[in-house]
Amino acid sequence: MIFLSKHKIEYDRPGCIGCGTCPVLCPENWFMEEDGQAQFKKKEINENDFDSNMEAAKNCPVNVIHVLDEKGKKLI
Amino acid sequence: MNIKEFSCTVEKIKEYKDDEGGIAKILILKHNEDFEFKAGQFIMLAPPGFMDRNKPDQLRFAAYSMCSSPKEKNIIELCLRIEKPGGLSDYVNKNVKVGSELIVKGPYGRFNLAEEEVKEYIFSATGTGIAPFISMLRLLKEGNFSKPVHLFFGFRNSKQFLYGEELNALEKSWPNFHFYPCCGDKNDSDWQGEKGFIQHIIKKTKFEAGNEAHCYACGIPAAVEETSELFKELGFKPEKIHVEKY
Repeated sequence: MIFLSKHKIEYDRPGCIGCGTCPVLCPENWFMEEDGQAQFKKKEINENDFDSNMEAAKNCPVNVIHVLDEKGKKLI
Repeated sequence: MNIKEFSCTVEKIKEYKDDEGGIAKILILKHNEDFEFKAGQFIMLAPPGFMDRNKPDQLRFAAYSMCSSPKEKNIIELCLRIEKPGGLSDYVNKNVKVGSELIVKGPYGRFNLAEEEVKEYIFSATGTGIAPFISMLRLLKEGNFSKPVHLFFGFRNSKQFLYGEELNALEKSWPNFHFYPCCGDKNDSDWQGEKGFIQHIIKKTKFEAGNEAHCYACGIPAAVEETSELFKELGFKPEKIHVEKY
């Protein structure tokens, strides 16, 4: 995959139920905050983080994590 | 973490219904998947065809903790409160019968038994928040856990005493298990035991391990928050207080 520009994370934090799945699948970009909800470290992701962020988004039980392409289209 | 999505068949349904229209159901699902989970984890449940991410308007699923022990293979046991029309529990109530198909995705969650050596467990549940503790208790009993385990269980009325028979039997057969059921309806003449709020019973209970116990609260958010605060007031260590809000 060629990355001409960075992909972006879209995250609806109020909808997070704190299951802890995303930090397990993508520890490089996701962590749990003290209030029990997940948070990302960086909104723009590169090719190294792409697959694991996609896994986090795909497996989020409440679909609050999305990965957008350079045009803002939701990949997931 | 190995998240799987697979089909299950409803093998058994048990219903708890009270005079005020409150309904809770225990569903036993059978599957052929090699599915592993930890006691206290949950799954997402949906009717077939309703978990398509490309059709968000059709997405209709909900999270339910597993009551079954992780050692029970090919079985997933869930405990659901039937809630507002249009949601998944309403769908289950109206459409799901023995033999129906449901889709399961999971496991998820961090509300698990501690991985360190534990001196005492204190569990506090309200309503269907009993679900993860049923899984934990079955696992602890199977493993002959030798330290004290306390379960404080608050329920709306005597007809919503979920898993009452199993829990009473467990207390008789397992000396380390201490069970404190508490009926919320003070006017319920069918209930002869404790009535009111479980927090009052927790306050007057003596715990062997002092502040070293691992404390858990699960159920309706207000009760979980209140119990969590109580655990802190009683001196339990914040890092040993675990909560799951429904």
